[in-house]
Amino acid sequence: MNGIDNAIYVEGLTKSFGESRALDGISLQVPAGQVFGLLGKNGAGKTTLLRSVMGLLSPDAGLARVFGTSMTSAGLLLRSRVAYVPQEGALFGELSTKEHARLFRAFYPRFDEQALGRFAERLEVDMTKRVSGLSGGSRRKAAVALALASGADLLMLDEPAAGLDPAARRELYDLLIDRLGEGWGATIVLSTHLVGDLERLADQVAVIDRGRALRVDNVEGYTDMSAGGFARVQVIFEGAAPLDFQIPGAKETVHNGRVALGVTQLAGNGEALIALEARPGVTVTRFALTLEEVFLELVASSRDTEGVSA
Amino acid sequence: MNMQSKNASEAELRRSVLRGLWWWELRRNRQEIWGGLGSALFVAALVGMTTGIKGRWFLMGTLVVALSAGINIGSSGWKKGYEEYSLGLPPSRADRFQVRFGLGFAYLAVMLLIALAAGPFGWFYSLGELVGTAEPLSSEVNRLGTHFEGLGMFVFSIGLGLALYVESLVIAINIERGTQPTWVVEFLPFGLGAWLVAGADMTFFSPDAGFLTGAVALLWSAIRLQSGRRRFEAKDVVLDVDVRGGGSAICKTRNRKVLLIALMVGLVVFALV
Repeated sequence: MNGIDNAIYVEGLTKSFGESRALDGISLQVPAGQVFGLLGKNGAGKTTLLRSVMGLLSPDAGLARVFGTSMTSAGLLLRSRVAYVPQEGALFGELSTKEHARLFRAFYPRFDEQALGRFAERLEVDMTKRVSGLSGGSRRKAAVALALASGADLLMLDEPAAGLDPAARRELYDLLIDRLGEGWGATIVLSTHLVGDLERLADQVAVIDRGRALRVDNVEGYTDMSAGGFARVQVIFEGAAPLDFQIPGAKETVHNGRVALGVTQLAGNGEALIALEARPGVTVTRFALTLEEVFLELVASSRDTEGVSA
Repeated sequence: MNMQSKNASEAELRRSVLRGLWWWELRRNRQEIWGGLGSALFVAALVGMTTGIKGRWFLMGTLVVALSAGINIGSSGWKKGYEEYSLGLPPSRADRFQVRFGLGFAYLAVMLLIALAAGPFGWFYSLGELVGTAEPLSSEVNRLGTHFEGLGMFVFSIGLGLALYVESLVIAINIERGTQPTWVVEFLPFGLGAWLVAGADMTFFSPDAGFLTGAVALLWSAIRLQSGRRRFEAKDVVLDVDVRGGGSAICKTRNRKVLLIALMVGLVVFALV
């Protein structure tokens, strides 16, 4: 589906910088009205993806649509429905936050200055001070507050909490949650390498590594064992492990004469584990994983597979 | 939303965006603008109320103001990093180019008006006569050497001033954005071209020279403005200039420019000999 139901539609997007491939045929869809997390290590391709979607970079191949249209050919009306907060240089140093509001009011027809005042107060941002005179954290907060007040239908936030202390980060995300709770209905794309940011907010999370989306799912889909999510599995055999049993990546240990296998349940080995569970003399115990653990396992597993196939 | 109301909304938003951009550019350049206007008024009052700004000074003043307006308006805020965010904002690069050019042009127009008031229009001089500071007018008023007189000299000054403004604006933008090598290579074709045209003008049309140079300068301004804007917009979505690709393009442009410069220098030498 390449329709308008999706706030963002990306298909086969590829982008290289010299020898380095930042995006490797990535495809994903962000449904309208969702908080969508892009989770990946530094250099995974999150920023390149956002910038390509925004039309700030020309992809080598593939397509990116925002509300059904490419941003490179989008008119003002569509562009005014999108607010983008990049990692750096988000605001103009010579203007204060208040002056930014005056400028953005001209660009975003639904800009809400009263709301901005409330956000700035809550985030403790001095609206009258020039941005160049604000601390790095205050600049990030001011940029997010301006984006939130823009009235845009799609917010693209690239590492919005980078450089914020834990309290400020919590306050920023509380503000986002409250804003969403007001029935705002905007789509938010949140790029981060901090898993905790997404656990609180995201409806769906795309794990990105080496310019590819390894998996797109909701948080429960990653962590809820009953919903087929990931789990750490311990397999204990009464005696020796059966010779015909093979699970890639399983680590074998011996405890009190019993063989124990530790393995992470992934999509590829789920059936093997269920089959194993049915055997006599085998005890299978599953332990829930956090999103962070799943993320690390996914990336490691992807790189292992890549290494094997290479 | 039907197409008609969509177009109306788009047009309304565009007006709002342009107003916003004008406010922004005025806000960003306010010190330079007020400083420049203040200085010009001071000098115009000083000279205009005594002897009047005569031909040569009018030309020099116009060129200096045009060059400084082009460089100042052109060379701020395009750098990578700064513009990344502003590209994420709704206004297009074309909108920003248009407002930048418009602001510089308006500044230039006000400066010209001051210069005209202090020179050809004689408004400051009349004021000087009222307060008794004016000196007797000499026959050399509004003369530039022996070739440029009266209206021709003003067409020459204004045309060349406008061309110099457009040229320096485009070069300043290109240089700051790292797409052009140096001012010398960029500016030499314009400088030599202007010199050649002015030379031909003086040779063939003296003592009423100035109109040819003014007309060619206006034509050049229009062409340069269009080519500069197209080049600027073409880079709208490409912030990550491919070093090899961009480099080869720059090399080709540079080679063409060097050839052009060599040709012009040859013509100048030929004309002098």
